[in-house]
Amino acid sequence: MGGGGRHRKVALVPLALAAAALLGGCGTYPQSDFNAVGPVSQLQRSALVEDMRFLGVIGIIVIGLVIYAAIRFRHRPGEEETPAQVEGNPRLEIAWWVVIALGLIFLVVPPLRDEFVLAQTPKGPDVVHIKVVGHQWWWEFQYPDYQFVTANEMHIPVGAKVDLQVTSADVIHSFWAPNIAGTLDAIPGRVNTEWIQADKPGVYWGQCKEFCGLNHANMRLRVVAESPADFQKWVDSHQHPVGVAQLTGDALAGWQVFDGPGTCKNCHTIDGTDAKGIIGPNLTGIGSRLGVAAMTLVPNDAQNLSTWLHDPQAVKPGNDMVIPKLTEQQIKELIAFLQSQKTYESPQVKAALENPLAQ
Amino acid sequence: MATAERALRLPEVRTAEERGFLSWLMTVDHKRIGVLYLLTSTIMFAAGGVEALLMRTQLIRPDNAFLGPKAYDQVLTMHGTTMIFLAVIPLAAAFFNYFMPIMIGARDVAFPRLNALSYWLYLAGAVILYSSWFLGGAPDAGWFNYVPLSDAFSGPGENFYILGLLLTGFSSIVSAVNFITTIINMRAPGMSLMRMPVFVWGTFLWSALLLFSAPPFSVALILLLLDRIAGTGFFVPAAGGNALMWQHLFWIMGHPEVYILAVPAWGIISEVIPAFARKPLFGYRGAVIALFAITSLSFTVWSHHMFATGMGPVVNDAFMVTTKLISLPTGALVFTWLLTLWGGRIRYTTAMLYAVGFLPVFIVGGLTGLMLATAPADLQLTDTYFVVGHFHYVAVGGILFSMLAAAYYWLPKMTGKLLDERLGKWSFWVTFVGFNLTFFPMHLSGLLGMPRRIYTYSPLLGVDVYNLLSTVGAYVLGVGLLLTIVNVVRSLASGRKAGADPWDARTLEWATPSPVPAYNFRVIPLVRSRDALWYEKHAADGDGRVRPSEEVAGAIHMPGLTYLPALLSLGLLVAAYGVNFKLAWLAALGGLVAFYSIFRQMFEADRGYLLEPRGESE
Repeated sequence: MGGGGRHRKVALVPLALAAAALLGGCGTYPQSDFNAVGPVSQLQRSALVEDMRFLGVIGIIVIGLVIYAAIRFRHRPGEEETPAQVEGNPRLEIAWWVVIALGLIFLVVPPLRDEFVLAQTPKGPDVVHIKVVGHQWWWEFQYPDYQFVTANEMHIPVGAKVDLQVTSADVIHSFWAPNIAGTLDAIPGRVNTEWIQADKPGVYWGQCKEFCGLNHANMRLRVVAESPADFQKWVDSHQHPVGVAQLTGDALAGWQVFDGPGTCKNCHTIDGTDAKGIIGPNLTGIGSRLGVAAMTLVPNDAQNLSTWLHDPQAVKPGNDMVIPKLTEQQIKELIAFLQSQKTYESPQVKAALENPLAQ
Repeated sequence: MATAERALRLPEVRTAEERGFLSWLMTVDHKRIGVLYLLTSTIMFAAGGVEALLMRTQLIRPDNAFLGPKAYDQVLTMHGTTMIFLAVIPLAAAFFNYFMPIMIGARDVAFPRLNALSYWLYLAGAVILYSSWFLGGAPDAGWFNYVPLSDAFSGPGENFYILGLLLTGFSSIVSAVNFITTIINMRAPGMSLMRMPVFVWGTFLWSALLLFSAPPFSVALILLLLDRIAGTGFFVPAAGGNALMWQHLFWIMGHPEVYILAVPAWGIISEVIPAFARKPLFGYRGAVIALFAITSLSFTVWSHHMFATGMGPVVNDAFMVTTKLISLPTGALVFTWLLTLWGGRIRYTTAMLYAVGFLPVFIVGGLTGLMLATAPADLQLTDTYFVVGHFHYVAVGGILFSMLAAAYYWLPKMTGKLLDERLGKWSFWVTFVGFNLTFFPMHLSGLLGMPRRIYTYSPLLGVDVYNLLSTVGAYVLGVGLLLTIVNVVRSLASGRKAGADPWDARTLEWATPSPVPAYNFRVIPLVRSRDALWYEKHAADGDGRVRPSEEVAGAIHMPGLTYLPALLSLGLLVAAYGVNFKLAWLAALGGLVAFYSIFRQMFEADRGYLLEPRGESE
């Protein structure tokens, strides 16, 4: 929210802002369609911008003609004679059908190719495969190449093609990280595929776009694009998770709460421990994630974790985390435990942990 | 014996039709049914408007806690469902009912009793949907009601959605059959098809659209109802069903639906603009052809609502092409209206302000629609506020403005009293400003990444200013619409007399007294031209009065009143509650009442009555 006041003043003129947004987007709009950082979103942006230009010109001309006619041919006091009763002009009418048809060619033909580009399936040894599973109301990201699972925060290497297999465990959701790629529906009983690629390191925002029930609004996600070396370190840290052997003090006590009968581990998995629940999101590396409860609360700090653990139903009504009331001591210990479960933090992650809007 | 005796009895002669309260329940007069439609749809429109204001209030700032997600989702669902099915379709039906028969020079529709049935079925559907608020909660899966969310993942309100829309769908089909039959068979002598006002063509094509789009949707609703109450799995992937199939069936109705809403609007605009530009519609034939083209094409474009469902590039491209093709006839219509203004002497009454105000906003809505039709762009824009801005430019700026134009144009004919022009002009400007303030910023918040159907959003998205503007605009828009309601009430109480033809207009309805008598025309008129009344006012051999088609002017045979359509609807309403609550006895009781009224109808001969008008000149 740094510089919020200045942003607010500028934003009072929506047209100026739209123009600013058209000029390439700026950091204040983390989900802007115009801040495209990969070939997929760039192709979608250029289709959008070409349409806006072409149709904008047509709109100005036609609306201009309407306004001209509406003013020019208004009835003025004293004009009593009836205007000429012109019923039509076949040549003129044929002309406008033809002109519109010609204009349509420019509008119809260019984007036809785009759909085939978007539908390509990336192949080769460098391709990263990720299976995306939508749940009410969080995202599961499986990395079959590396045999681990994470949630709500997808990491991808910069410059690599990523093959997404998108489906759902319950109702229809829709995967959308606009800076990288447009929407793809997550439909139960069906696997949709798309490829994505980010050419610039950063943390990109996204969220579920298909109405999926009570907390559709809070089914958010991040895509972290980091250098291939950083990505590999992040993968390694999932394959060799922190576990619980080294824990002491509050963190150890927190693990005991997590591990207690009828508690967290029934629903959540943390690799390297005996928590193997599969109802809720996988919490391996939760200490390095960027937000709490599918990015409903950002950043992921002790305060937001505490808000969530005090009353998950107040933060996100209707979600599956229905838990007995925890004591202040238990919450403190659980936070210490969760924060101990870290994975590798690239510079992009470190920056976003400080400031959620950092890219 | 008894039958023969009954056949011999002549209908009784009366000098006036019945006007008591009960007669409104039993009427078969197309005009009074039109009034019932108008009143009910206005109330429904107000309900949908309040729901819109509740949503806008929740979204006035990020992380707001005015409505929780539970209430928000119900209000969201009811707003869309109400506006589409309970407000705008019946509002069009109100004007069609009242004016189409008069404009073709008929005394009534072809099947007056079916017409009454249409209204009562619509009312029953509205009662079911709105009673959900008091019987466990309103439906909450959106007006599009996608499965599986609407199947096993939502509350009891969903059954109200299904049963309510089955009844309104039934109502639409009945209306459609009735209007098509009327237009084909009941035109006055000389009213050839190509002399019909474009508004009548609008009625015809609206009916055709409903006739072909309502049945697949009804089928989808019945399958979903069976999934929900009988444990079938048509839409359940785990049971071998297909979750995506709902979307296809829904949009096979849902996209023609857009034109079901728009065609009446275009019909109205094509009447109001010539009346006040004082010129005939420029290129009548082309406009009729364009309307036919749009109606046909509208059945080939539904999957453009589903570009993100993974149908593949060939299917997406095919639907992208058909969708964009629609802009050809639609663009031609815009030129028709533009060239009708061109060279006119435009008189800016309130009706004309709304009609001319319609043009730029409708053009904007059409152009943003073309952007959404570009599949690669749509993958970013879909399900964002850009879409919400787009279709409200079409639905509010386009369709609602035209309905307001119709109200200011035709209400004097219906009530016999003029509306206040000064207050009317205020209403236009407040409505116009409020409308743009509400919906223009939505395009921007959408482009900047705000999804739709969310009850809250993060302040970090940077879209709070746009949402604040939209919310303020929504209240201004509300005030503008309220001004029109005030205007109507004042006009009813103390409006100046309208006279038969207050606008020096062109079509047959202005050749009847205001308000229009029960029989419409003392003698069925003879139509000698398109714009039949204008022709008689200006032709060399015209005397300003529409000619009668026959000399005889005896008593007029009118259909009798009947309670059967209302009773049939009541039976179906009761049966629907029975199904909803799984009470077999209640469903059976409702079914019995419905069957009784159908059988009674089959064996009852309506002798009607003879109306002997007292001292009327026309």
